[in-house]
Amino acid sequence: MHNSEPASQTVAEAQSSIQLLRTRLNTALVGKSDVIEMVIACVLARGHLLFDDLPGLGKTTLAKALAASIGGDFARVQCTPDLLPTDISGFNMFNQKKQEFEFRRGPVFSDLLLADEINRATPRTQSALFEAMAERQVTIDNNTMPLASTFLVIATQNPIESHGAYPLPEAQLDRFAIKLSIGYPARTDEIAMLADNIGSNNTVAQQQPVTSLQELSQLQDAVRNVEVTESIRGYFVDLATATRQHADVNIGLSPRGVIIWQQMAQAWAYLQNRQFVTPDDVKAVAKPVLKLRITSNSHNSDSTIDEIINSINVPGM
Amino acid sequence: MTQSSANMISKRKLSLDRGLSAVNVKRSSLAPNIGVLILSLLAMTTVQMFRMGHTRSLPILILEVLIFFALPCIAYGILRYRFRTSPEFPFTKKAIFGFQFGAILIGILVVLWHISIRPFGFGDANEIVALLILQSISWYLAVFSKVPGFEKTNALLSGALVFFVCCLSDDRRIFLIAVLFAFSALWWLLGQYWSRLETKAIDGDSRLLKLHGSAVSLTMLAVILVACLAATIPFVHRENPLIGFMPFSGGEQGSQNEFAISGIGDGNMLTAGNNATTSGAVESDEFIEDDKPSLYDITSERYDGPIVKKRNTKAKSLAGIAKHLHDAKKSEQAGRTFRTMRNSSKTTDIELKDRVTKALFFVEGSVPARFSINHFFQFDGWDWNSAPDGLEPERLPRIYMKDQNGSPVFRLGRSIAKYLTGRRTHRVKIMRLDSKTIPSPALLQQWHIPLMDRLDIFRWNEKELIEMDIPTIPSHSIIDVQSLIPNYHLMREHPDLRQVQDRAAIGTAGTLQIPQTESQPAIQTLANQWTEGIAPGWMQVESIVNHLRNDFALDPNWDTDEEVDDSVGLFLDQGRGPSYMFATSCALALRSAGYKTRIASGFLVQKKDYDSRARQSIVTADNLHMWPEVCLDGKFWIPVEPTPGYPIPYSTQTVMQWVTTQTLMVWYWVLENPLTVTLFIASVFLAFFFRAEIITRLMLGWWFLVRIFWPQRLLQATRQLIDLRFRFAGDRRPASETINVWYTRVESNALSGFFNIWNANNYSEKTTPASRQELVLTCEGAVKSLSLKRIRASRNDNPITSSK
Repeated sequence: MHNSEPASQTVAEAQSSIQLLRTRLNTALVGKSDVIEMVIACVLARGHLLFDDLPGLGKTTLAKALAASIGGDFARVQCTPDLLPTDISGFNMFNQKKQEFEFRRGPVFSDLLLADEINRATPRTQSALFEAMAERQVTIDNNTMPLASTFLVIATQNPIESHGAYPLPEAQLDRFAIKLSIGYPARTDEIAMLADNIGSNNTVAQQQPVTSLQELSQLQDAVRNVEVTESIRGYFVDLATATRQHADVNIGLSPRGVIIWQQMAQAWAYLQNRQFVTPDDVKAVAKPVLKLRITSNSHNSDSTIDEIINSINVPGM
Repeated sequence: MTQSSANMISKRKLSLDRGLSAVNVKRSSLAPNIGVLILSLLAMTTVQMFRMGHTRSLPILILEVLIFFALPCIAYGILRYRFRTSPEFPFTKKAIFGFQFGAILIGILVVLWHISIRPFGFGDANEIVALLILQSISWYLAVFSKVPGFEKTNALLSGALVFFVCCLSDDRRIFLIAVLFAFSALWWLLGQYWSRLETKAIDGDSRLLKLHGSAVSLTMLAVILVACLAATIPFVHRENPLIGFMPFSGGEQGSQNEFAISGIGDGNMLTAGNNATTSGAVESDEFIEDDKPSLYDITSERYDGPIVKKRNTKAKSLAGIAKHLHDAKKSEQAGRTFRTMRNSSKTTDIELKDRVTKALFFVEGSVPARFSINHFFQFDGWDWNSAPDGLEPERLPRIYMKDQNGSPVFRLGRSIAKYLTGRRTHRVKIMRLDSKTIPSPALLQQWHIPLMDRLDIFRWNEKELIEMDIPTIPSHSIIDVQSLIPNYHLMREHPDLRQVQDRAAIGTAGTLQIPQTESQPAIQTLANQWTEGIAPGWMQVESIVNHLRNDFALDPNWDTDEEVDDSVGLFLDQGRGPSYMFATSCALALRSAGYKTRIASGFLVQKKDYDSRARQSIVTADNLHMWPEVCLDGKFWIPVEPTPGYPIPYSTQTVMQWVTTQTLMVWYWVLENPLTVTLFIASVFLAFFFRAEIITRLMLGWWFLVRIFWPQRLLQATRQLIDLRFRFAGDRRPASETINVWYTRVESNALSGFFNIWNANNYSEKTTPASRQELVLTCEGAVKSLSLKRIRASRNDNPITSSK
């Protein structure tokens, strides 16, 4: 009625694909529909995702389920301090038979890369992901190789282990779209989860994909076309300015961060079956986007973000 | 986070900020600096007070002040509304230029305003307009003090304005405001600079001098002291026209601007000789050629001639009657007697043109004012007589001459009573007045005549008025007279001023004389009734006067009866009469109550006599009036006005006294109208208790109007109505919350359509707008779903919101 038609996919088809993905992920991770919504929004916004949570809460499970649902190449890297950059990007190996160097592709040449416990890799290794995440390409020995257009990094990190951990620098954090915490499940969900595991060997990862990479790419293109009016853009800028001026914030939001925030809001609006962004969309994705980017003096960054959001009037009133 | 990393971050932030400030425009909030606003308001007060003392029309002045006060505020409000979503205003070069242009525009508007009101006889001299331009710009700069450069410019401009006005004014209140300004400016400076004065100690560390707390305390103390002082100073409102202050203002060959009449030249209005300030030759001889009417003629023109007495005709010989009539007429022609029985059938309305040519004298200065030319002391039932029995001219104040700024000023030697707290000055230009008596305002204290330095030319006459030892005061003579102004509040507080008579008391013998007529007992009874239960003193005088003003009616065409011996009795019987009968009855009632009273005859100058173009009051025979004067302490004659419709004599009062009077007036009104007050209070209480219902229903009425006439604004009106309901339900929607989130807390299902339309309308330019019918139905549904009752119920159900 009030929504314009997407260019390449009908709204019904798009929403159907998204609903299938939603169902699949909800089956893999029970009782975390809000997290799953945000994960889907991040994927649709072509953003990279960072899970920051305790071990055993389902980070890897969710990542694997997402990879299986999309149907692309999935690669996993278990980050340790002795992991080398070439273990991620790949390396040139001399083939004695052919008497030439040939490139051995690393896990970065996949559609979905799961970097488990990324904060345990050395900064040198972490930085190997910089170019791949930002520009979706890898340069080795002056040879630049493009990655898949749907290339997505899902990284996890453990916040409590400080021994042998290398906190991600701000520059790298900024390359992620959002940071999510899954958190403990509710009691009823946990009981259901235990019931599901009786006599079952959790085969979600082996199921057929619910959407193809092409479909995903089309969805991502549709998300890019979601309308953002000038008043909403002004709202973004005002909020970003407020983060830079807040007393408890050391470093405010960068312009790149604002762009990612807008993309996330577009994806969120698309998930709500809307072709334009409203202030509610902006607010809905604010915390995952901002928690990653603003370093706060306050112990509770959530309250700082709430203060920032509450300090700016919503447009259109 | 370690200390080193925190330092690194802060340094990085600092460098980032510097980088941003180097490339970006300055951004800051548009909210004005309170200190500068106060400075500018004080400067505005001094300028307007200076101007108010000379204004032609107080309402026009107030209107002008309001307009030029409001204009920058409105502009500010518009800008705030335009940039309401942004905490900071971008001060780009273009924006700063716009603000500067605004300041120029304000100046132009002031000029245009004065140009537009001048054709109607208002406006100010050019130099005053220039002063007002600067003042208006100062206020504009204060409102937009966040614009780079405006704050300091305004502080400097305000200071210059206050200093300039202080140099020109002798008004003590303006000096007090200037003192307040000085303290405020000091405060502002302390706040701006000195409290943050950065110094470096020997070890190289920066130190801040903290003076703010003590400075604020001292300033507040000083402000309170000055405010208390200001509240006790009596204020005198003058209505004389505004004069310019520059020597080149006006001039016969200069600007020919009628609004510029001061300085060394006189405006072109003066060349016709119509102004009191004129001292040069008059081109028109119309005044000179006119005959000068005697006081008898003037009295006859105003009140018609006296009735010829027919009483006692049987008892007196014809020769005696003839002699009596001859003596009476001769006496009245000489101004020594006034007959209260007159032919008052004729009324004379003199046109303005005639008024000018028939002007007896012109007056510059505040109105209302009374100028006495005659005093009557004794009454015989028909006639007031001038010469009192036992008048003691030797006990009247001594006249002496004093040099004041190089000019001789004649003054009365007497100590000033405490209740005479103010002074005012008038300039009188004699035209056709045939009198050697100086038209004296009540409580005359000193006078000045240009080029007159002979003391022996002035003397007291038997009417207790100052007269000149010449046959008549020449036409075009200019006399500056200064009089004292009583403060009624102080007089009321004094127990009974009759008890404080001392040796310096003037001769007032005979001023308690009452004729033994038939009405004498009635007057005595009335006086007793009107003063019963009232403390002796001024309050009894006021009571008698007020009863006459309220209980009797003014009737210029009074039906006299020549058969009646007692004019006061006739007046009391009829309950109506002309002004001189009010004065007569009042005088007799006051004397019956024991207060020394005389009748003053002279000219009452009122607001209606003021000619705004000539900026002076024109006094003709029409202004002739009579009023009683009471002497309480034996030294000063205080005028009173018993005639209804005529202005009460001028008095001063302090701000505190004014507030007290107004409060008492309100209180008495409340006591007199208990039913009205009860209904009003009940209405106010009901309106207060049901304010939510009343206001939301009014808003609903507005919503219906919008639905009919401006459907394109229906969405906003719906949102405003529902927001208002939330507000009155105690659950106000914060400006940072969307309506979707806020309204859904009460109703989650029925509003989806409204939210869809609202979002599409506000946040999408590509979406097809909803049809009018759909819009109206959806908005109607939202208005019905979110009723005030429902919101309140929802708030009570919600433990979080209900506990707020």
